[in-house]
Amino acid sequence: MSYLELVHLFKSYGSVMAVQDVNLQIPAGEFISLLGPSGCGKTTILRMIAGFEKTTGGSILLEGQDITHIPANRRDMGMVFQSYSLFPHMTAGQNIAFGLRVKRLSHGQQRIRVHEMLELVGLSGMGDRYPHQMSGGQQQRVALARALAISPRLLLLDEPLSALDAKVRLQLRNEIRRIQQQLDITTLFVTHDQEEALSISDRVVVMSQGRIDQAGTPEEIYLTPSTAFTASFIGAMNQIPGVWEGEQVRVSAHPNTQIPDEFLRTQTMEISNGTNVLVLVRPESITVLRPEDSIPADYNLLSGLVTSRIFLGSVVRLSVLVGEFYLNVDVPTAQAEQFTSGQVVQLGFPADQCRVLAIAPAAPQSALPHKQVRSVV
Amino acid sequence: MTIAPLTSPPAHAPAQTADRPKKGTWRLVLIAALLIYIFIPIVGLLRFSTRAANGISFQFYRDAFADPSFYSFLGNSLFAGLWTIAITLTLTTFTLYWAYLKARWLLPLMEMLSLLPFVVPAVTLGIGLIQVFTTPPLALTGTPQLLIGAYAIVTLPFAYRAVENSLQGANVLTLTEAAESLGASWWRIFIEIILPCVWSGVISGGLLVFSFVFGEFTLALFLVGSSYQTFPLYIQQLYSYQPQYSVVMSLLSFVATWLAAWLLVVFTRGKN
Repeated sequence: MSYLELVHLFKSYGSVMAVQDVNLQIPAGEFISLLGPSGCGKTTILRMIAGFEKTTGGSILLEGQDITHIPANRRDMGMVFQSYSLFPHMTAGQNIAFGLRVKRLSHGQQRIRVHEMLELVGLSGMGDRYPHQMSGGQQQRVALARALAISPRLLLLDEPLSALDAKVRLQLRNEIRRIQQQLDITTLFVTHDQEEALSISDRVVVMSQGRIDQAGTPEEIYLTPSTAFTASFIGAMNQIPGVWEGEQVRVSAHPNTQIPDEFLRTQTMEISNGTNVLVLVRPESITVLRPEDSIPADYNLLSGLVTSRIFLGSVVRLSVLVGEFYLNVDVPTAQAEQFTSGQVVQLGFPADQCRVLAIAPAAPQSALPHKQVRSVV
Repeated sequence: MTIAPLTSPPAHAPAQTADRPKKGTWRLVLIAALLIYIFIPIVGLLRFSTRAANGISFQFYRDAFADPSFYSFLGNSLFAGLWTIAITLTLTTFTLYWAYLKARWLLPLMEMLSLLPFVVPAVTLGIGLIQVFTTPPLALTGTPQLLIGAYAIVTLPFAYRAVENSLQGANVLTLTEAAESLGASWWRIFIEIILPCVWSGVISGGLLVFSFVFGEFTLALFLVGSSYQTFPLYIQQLYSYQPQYSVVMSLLSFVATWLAAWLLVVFTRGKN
């Protein structure tokens, strides 16, 4: 049975639908991320679960109990906000103890619990500091400790890392995951940062325009996106338009930069002939071939013109004009010097790295755990 | 490679250094003019109230403090001031907090309404209140209740501005939600979380309200007159037959207002 279940959840503000028919089941102890661009409804869902927003329709079940209309202060959920939200006139220890005082724990019990929590988040000995005497990362650790101190039924994290600098963000991200696994607490994490979501989640729910676009493990989301939106939102993805013709995709050619046989070999799919499709291939899956390279049989071969290059640290991203479209190609920085703008290069990528999506209008859908919500037909 | 030291200042530097003392002098002149403007009347009052045939005397001060009616009028003003603070701040703080949480769209309207008492002259307000509160069942003319009610309206802009500034800087919505998620009730959140965060604003507002009430004359004259004499009415009464006593009281009024202003600075220093 699911620990937390969202059933046909709706939220509207006037005529604007912020959340539309969201269905989600979360098992106990799972770390699930709601991922999407600004305004996609992910924070609204979190706030409805916390009780800060009223639902327009649907219900929220926690351990089988309908909590849709229970006030926020009786839901027993720990929440961490983007803006830390520590009580500024209280020390770190007093902040952590606040929820315990509300629960009428004895002073002795409060002291022990505060000590435990400070130790858990790596702030032992800092209980007497006020928020303004702490760094952003430390404040967010206190906020996490405060949320966990009351042993909540659910931990809700609303973009808790967004206000931190890159190094602290990475460190705290790993800390959050460690603590979540140590306490085995069911956690909902809202973020617009795909790297964050993919790196710490058991499951990622990609959202777009108030709906769940795709839900799955980070690997499923990254390797087998089932919609054009997820494909484009998660990592860099080349999308090559074409027409499905008997196990292959016909793509348009260009006189200057030709595709030898105008067909791309892809993963095997069940698609009707003549369907318009998108061929999805990651920049890191494409290789710039040298004349002496032996070419595997299942490789797609293309030639194109390098139009620009962007240094990204460990790789250089080449933009290559092939036919009527541009392909992004990642080349290890050490090998990238030999490629310059205006140069004609030979590109190759294996058929099994090409995913095909039929282009069809989006339809309402629901998301169930470990299931793709929209199959490619 | 070494970097040659800069041997001569840039061409525009002398002009800048010449400007600096000029600006500084002007500032000093302005501050001196302001201080003279403020203190000359006070020095005049002080001199008038301590003048004696054989030099300086504080006899008027001793006599004024020995007069039992002084304490009665002072008590009336303090009573009206404290009740006004309680009513105005309670109304303002609760209403603003509620608006910040539930109806932010109301804030511009509330701001506009809070400024209305500045627009209505005290005489007009006084006459209007007398018209309404003269006949039963609302015959309150001459009672401190009516005066305090009127003060609560007139001092609204002071309290509103001070409390609103504090609420703006306190991120009350997130703090409230954080406390709610920890199980706290609305009252507990207000008393233990929000009030301490806006305390400096509440204190500032209270001191401003008190300063106003302590020196207010027109409404007191219209609404209560001789039936509930406040400190400014006492000063006016003294002035007609004992001008030196009246000056002593005016100076005391100044001191009380400055004390309030100083406390205001102390409470708000480094906050918000």
